[in-house]
Amino acid sequence: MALTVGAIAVPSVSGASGTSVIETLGGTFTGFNNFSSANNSFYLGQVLNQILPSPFYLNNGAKNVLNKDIVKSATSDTVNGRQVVTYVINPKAVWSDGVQITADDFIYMFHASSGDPQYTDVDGSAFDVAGTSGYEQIASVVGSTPNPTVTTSVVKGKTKTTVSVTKCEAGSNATDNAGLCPNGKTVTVTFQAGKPYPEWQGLFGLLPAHISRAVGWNSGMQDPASAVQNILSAGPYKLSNVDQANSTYTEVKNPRWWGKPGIIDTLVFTNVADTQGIAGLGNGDFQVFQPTTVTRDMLNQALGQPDVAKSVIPAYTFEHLDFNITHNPFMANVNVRKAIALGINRNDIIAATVGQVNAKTKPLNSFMFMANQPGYVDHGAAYVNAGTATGVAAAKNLLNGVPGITYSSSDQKYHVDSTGDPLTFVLQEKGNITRSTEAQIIQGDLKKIGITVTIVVRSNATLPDGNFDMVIFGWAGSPLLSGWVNIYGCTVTNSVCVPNASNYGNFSNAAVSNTMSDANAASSFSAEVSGYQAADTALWNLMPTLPLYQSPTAIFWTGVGGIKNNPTQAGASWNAQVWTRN
Amino acid sequence: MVKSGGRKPPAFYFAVRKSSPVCYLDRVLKYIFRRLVSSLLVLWVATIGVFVMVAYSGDPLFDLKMNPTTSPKTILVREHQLFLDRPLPWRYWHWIDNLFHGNLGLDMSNVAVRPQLFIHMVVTLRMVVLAFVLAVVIAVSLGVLAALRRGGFTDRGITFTTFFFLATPVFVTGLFLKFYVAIPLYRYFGHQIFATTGAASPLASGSFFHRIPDYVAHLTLPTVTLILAVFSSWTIYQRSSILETMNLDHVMLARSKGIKPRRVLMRHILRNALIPVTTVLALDFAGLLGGAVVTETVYSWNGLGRWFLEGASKQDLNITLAYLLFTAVLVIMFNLLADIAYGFLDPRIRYR
Repeated sequence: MALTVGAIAVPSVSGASGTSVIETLGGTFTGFNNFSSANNSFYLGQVLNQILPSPFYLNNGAKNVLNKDIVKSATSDTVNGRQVVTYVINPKAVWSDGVQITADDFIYMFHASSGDPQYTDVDGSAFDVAGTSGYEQIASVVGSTPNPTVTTSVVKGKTKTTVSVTKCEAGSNATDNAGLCPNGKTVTVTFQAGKPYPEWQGLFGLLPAHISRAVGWNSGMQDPASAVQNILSAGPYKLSNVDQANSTYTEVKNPRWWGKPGIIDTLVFTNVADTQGIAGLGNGDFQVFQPTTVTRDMLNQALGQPDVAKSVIPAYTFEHLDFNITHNPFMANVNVRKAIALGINRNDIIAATVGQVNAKTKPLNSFMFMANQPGYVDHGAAYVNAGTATGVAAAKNLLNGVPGITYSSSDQKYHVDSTGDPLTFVLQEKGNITRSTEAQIIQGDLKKIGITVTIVVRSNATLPDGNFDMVIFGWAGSPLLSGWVNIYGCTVTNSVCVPNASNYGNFSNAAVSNTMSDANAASSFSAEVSGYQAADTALWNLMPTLPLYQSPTAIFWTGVGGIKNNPTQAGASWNAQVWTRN
Repeated sequence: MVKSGGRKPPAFYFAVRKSSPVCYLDRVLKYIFRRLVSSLLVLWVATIGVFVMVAYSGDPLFDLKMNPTTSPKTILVREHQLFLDRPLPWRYWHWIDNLFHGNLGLDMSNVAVRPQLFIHMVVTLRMVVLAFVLAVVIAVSLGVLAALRRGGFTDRGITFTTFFFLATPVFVTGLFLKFYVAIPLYRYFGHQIFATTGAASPLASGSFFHRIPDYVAHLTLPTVTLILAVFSSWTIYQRSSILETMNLDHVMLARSKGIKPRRVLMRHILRNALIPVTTVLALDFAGLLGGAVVTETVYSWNGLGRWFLEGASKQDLNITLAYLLFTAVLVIMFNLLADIAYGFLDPRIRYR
């Protein structure tokens, strides 16, 4: 029986021709501008993976791959001491309304994402952007070489094709692209002097400038009712229906797509709670399920469903124990932090939590590289015996040298000399079962080295208030490294290195921070990686935080071929155009 | 005299009807007006309490601030958009001012809340209304049957069943139906009989009538789950109410006069026994929405409950307030209806 979805007639899910795949989203979203901080979400990204174009995409090896459907080439050079990136747009590249992808789309994205107050949204308000990294270092984005004009005429019964050079359009001040050749098919991005951006490949996810400028960046793409009109596609699929009542988003093949077409006719994304995913797969409600958090229960349930396949891999997200060096004066002593790291058995934590989901999980021994990320170097050799008798002895050895505390063999605790109280640290955790388990193990481990830990459960966000000595939380990693300076770095102001915005532990070391800042300004990505490796080495001697383990990401599916798990935040649908139905 | 076992009506109910029907109606309207005014006051105080609690429950921009690539400028823009840079009284006044203009504000993604409320309300009510009607029919029928067969096998069976489901959490019932009914049926027949997620198939199309089989497939298990969650207490209540009524003087008199048992049941027992049950049902309807939150989660229905839960987890003030306002209005409305119904159903009770 044929079912109609949007304007396209497709047979039922199991039909031989006209196939469909339903994938779950673990949560809802409203608003469709994934480049705005108000709308940015993993779930929206899943929906837009096959719709919005970008010059590069992250594959399942977490490597940036040139998207030749969008740009024929993308090169980075140094000209007069400045980094210059040149994109040559594929001449066939068009939005789903027929308008060509041009330099104007790049110009608009630069203006919106630069954080420069001279550029404003359609209503004059500041652009709300999810991230300005890279864009704020750009000096200019200019187009050139528009597509030649092809005219066809019939003269004396013969068809004559004339190809003529197209001039650059003038642009206008109203759209901030006057004199920038907005219709150009070659885009030249020039970075500011002394501010190259080695991660330039991650820039310029695109929106259709001609639509976004008209409807507005901040509020024009929010209304689900108009999303189908305003969210144009330049990918294999296009949005065909938004069903708010069921939080369901339907995509069909983009008829204007010029590249290799997708195999599945209809992709559907629907919101299903994590806990209900495996049952839904087993009952044929949907075919692909990517939980927000994979649990042992899911794996057990999947074992009972013979047709359900799974992939569990370490994601670019890691759990860690953060030290706040300004809340308790003893935490400011690096030997105290090192002693804590030596006292905690991370293997025990893994065995009690994530190891039950992915038995191959090992302690993460880097502050910024994931174990399956190019550039990862194991710097944690000194902590290989942490939590064992050897580690406990080494920890006590360090603590014995810390001024102001003394070990008491009667209660086997360190005491603060000035007050006589046991050396106590407040450990904050969020209260979910994983974090609570981790906190209890840490509490038990640190008791062995004579440190008392008070666990405080705070389900609400309280990191910025700094009211803790230690806190367990996760960082979402990325193949891009430049963000780490915001977490571990500081900015020198009046001779004081003030911790950066996401540096909740208030750790500051100007030398390490400079190493990371220099890496961000490296001339190549490999140089940037080397810089961050050096910073990572230095951080192990300063112990601002203790990395615990990489969290896993999982996909469960049934009746679908071609699924490849991606460790980044790209989500399961990153390669949906090659999926097949079994 | 007030029937025991029922919701005890307030003292001002009792009055002797001395005046004309017009005067009586006037009293009813005045009573409703007084109740509405007091209800609005309660509602207003509730909005202040909820506003303050939600506003202080956490930082709605926490996730944004946790993202190391977010620039401080972006955070300032968002704070301005969400009025977080304004004092709390100003924000409350802004919200209440918008409310008086029929505007429930924007959610964290800058999308209007009011249409979302209505969309999710329709999804929830689809399940709740059907479950409510069926549960009432089942509860009244089983309550009467158990009372008439008091002490017998049927009564014991019904009592055991009702207490069993009363003690069973909703999510257990839901998961049982999924794993031991829906999935085995799917495997046996090779195609789906009952859907276990969502209120409708994403691929369903055509007119409403064409979609009815799809709606039924999606509606059956959640409705059954919700019925099993609520019918027990109503059955027990109905049974005890019948038993109590059966022993009243007028029923004994009717029997002694030789009136047929069926007629005694329908006219003298059931009619009177339904009065306290009706008020309980009216009050429980709003509570049923709360029960639907779990059912919606188990079956991944994007109804009001899940909408609220996700909004609350994001510290989305306007979504949380809209949901709580909606449920508060329902509770107050059904309380009022229960009071009015009580008076209409029991001829001895009058308003003043």
